[in-house]
Amino acid sequence: MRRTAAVPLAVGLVIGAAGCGSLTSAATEVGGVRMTDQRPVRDGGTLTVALKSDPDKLDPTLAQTLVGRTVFAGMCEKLYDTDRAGKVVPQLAAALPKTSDGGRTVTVPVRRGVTFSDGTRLDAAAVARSLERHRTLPGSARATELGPLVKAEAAGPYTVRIRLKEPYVPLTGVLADRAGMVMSPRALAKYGKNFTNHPSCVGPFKYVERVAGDRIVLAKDPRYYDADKVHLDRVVYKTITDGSVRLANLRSGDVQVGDQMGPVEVRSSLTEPQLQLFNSPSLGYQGLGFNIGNVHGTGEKPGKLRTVLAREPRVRAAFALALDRKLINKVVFQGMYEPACGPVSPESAIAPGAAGCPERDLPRAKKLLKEAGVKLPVPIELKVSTSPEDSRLGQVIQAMAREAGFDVRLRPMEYATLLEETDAGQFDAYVSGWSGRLDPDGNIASFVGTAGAMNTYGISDPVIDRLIAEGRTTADRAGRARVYTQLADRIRDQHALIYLYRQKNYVVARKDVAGVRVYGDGLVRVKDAGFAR
Amino acid sequence: MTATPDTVDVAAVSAAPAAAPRPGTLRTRLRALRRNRLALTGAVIAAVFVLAALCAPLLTPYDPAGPDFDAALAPPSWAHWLGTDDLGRDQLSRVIYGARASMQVGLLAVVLAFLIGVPLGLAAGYYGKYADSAVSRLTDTLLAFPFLVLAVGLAAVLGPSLLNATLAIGISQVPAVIRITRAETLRLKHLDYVGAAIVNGGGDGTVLARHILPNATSALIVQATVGIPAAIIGEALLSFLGLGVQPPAPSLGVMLAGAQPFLGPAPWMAVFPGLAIVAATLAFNLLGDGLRDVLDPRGGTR
Repeated sequence: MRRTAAVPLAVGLVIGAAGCGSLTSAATEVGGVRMTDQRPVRDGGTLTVALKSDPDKLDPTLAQTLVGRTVFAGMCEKLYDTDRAGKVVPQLAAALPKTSDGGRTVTVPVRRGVTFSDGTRLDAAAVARSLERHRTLPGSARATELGPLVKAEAAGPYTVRIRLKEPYVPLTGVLADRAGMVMSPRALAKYGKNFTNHPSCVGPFKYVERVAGDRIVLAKDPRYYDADKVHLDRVVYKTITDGSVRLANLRSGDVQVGDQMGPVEVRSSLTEPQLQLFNSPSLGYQGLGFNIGNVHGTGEKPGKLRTVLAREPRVRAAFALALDRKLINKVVFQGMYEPACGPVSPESAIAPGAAGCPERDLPRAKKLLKEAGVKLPVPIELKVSTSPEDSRLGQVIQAMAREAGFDVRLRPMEYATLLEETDAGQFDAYVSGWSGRLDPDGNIASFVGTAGAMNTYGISDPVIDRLIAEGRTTADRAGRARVYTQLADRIRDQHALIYLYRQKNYVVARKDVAGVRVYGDGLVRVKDAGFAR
Repeated sequence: MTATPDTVDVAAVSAAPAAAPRPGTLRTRLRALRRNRLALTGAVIAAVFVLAALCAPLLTPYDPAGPDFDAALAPPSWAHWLGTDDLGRDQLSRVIYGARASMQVGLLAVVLAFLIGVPLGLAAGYYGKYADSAVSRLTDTLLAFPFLVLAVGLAAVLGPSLLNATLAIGISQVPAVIRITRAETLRLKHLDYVGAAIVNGGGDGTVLARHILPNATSALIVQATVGIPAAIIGEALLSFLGLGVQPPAPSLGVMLAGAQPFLGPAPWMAVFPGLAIVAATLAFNLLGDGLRDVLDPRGGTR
């Protein structure tokens, strides 16, 4: 009995102590963009990176999450990579691709003298095999972005020829992501779909072990072609979902790098002398998606749903009009992100014209609901992840929508489960975001194209499909920019995917860590990282 | 102590019958409770919580779920006595409604645990043999799971809501109630008056309901005062983990969870719900301690 009394007492003391600690803090401002630091580093050491959620499959063909890409950045190199200016540069390819045959044939030269972590040599056949797997494996999350491919084949020992149905301008950008990752052909032959548990690629670090829900361990790969420049012995990716816990672990020194830090944590980290902040503007977007036709699962042809949301675009439009983006940014994110109304970031390779950001308009929202003739309040279940930030966002959306006549129930769920259920179409609405790609097509086609690989919403619109195709085949930049502006408007008018805000990539690291790189794609690149001398 | 023990004892013995009536009556017990300052404090605070929970709609100055984005993260002031949270909701109103949820779970969970546990404990203790083995093995099985694991598991299976949190906490308290009831029954059933009641032709039901259960109440009351704070903490814990009360409805646990990122910039968000949990559990624990001292026949009055 006495022990039960001691527990709340201890809690009270801790809370009191934390409260006093804040008295010493001072307001400091986030500086400008800072992507890396160049201090020299010593060899050796284990770097622990805290990730916001547990990565999904460690198979480049099937993987879907941003945290997964961060892990891949340590162990799976791609044909191309993005540099700090957001330009595509060769990585496992020897040079940028050459197009011929009116854009229908693309030739990629492959880097020589490269070995996979399992000792197999990298050649054109290995690249072609990986590309074909990305394109054809059932359930591939790369299928949409590689949709225009007819065949990838080895045209010589170190030359890959890719044949396309039609010209496909975004291809280079696509090959600078998971679709450009090359998997060891021996590992593929041996493990097949189980590659996720024995991944083997070309990378500065190789896979050692994974404890689901807790950590992924990588070790320096002595076979890596650029191994002299790799300083760390090991990299451990630890899953810590709660941002304040990530920060507490950074403070204590248990982890050295904290991925995807939220605005509140960034503000507190600024007052800590032993921590440093990296930040870059995001290429992605965050928002919420409605289920308007996902009946058979994502990637399948949409069907008819009987929910009010699916039947009535006016109800969805009313919901969108009930939300105040500026206020969401101010209240939920301390004003440290940017309101957003379209899929394409101004930082993108091809920035579209400024999309008109609709202001909050309650009277119109109410009028639309009246015209739709629905019974008020309209019940909606909004699925959010369990992160405190999502919970706050959900509650703000809930409060704003209530004023228009919606009864939003929040359903917090673990992120991987959330992805599973939304993929299967088991949702009314969910908080949905994308870390972003350099090419605008990477932010659009998979999500809103009919039966796109990540079109969880069941959107199917002939105009959108036509514009996507146009964007892919238009070669000149001004023309593409026009197409994507039209696309953004058309997507907005569907009111199925409502863009709300654009994040900044905030990564907090301990001061003794140097060489970590954080570019616009939001990944934490650890190849050059190490502990400062 | 060594000086004149005799005179002191004589005075006490001679004064006792005049000052206090027969020990063990309700009046003596209440008086003893009143003399126990700590228990009295506990009782008063507990009463304040129960009252606040009952009259929550009358006491709260603001809608506990209604945000006011312009007033977000305001420190305590005249307009908001306990400040506001990150969405500009009045903390005082939320603490009061949160306490209401806590009380609701605290009381209902204990009632549930008693409704299930007492009959089973009586049967096990009174009939013995197979009934005892069956019930005791069930208790052992439930006890094998730590409270937290059992409650979290049940809440996760049933789905997150206040009612399900109550069920989960109630069920996880059942084994303790069974054990205590069984032990008391075992002790009482061999006493002469129970034997006399059986000889007089009292059926099992009569004996259990009129002779055994009433005499086991003091142990059960103490168990209830231990169970309530445990249930309050359980509710806060489940809500903290997202398995209890769902936002925007306030609960002390939900408030603490939401306050985590703001410990630095807005400590009042964590301090007040934290204090409320401390006060509520402490109050019931003190009351329980006091009641045990008073009701325990072996301890006598202090």
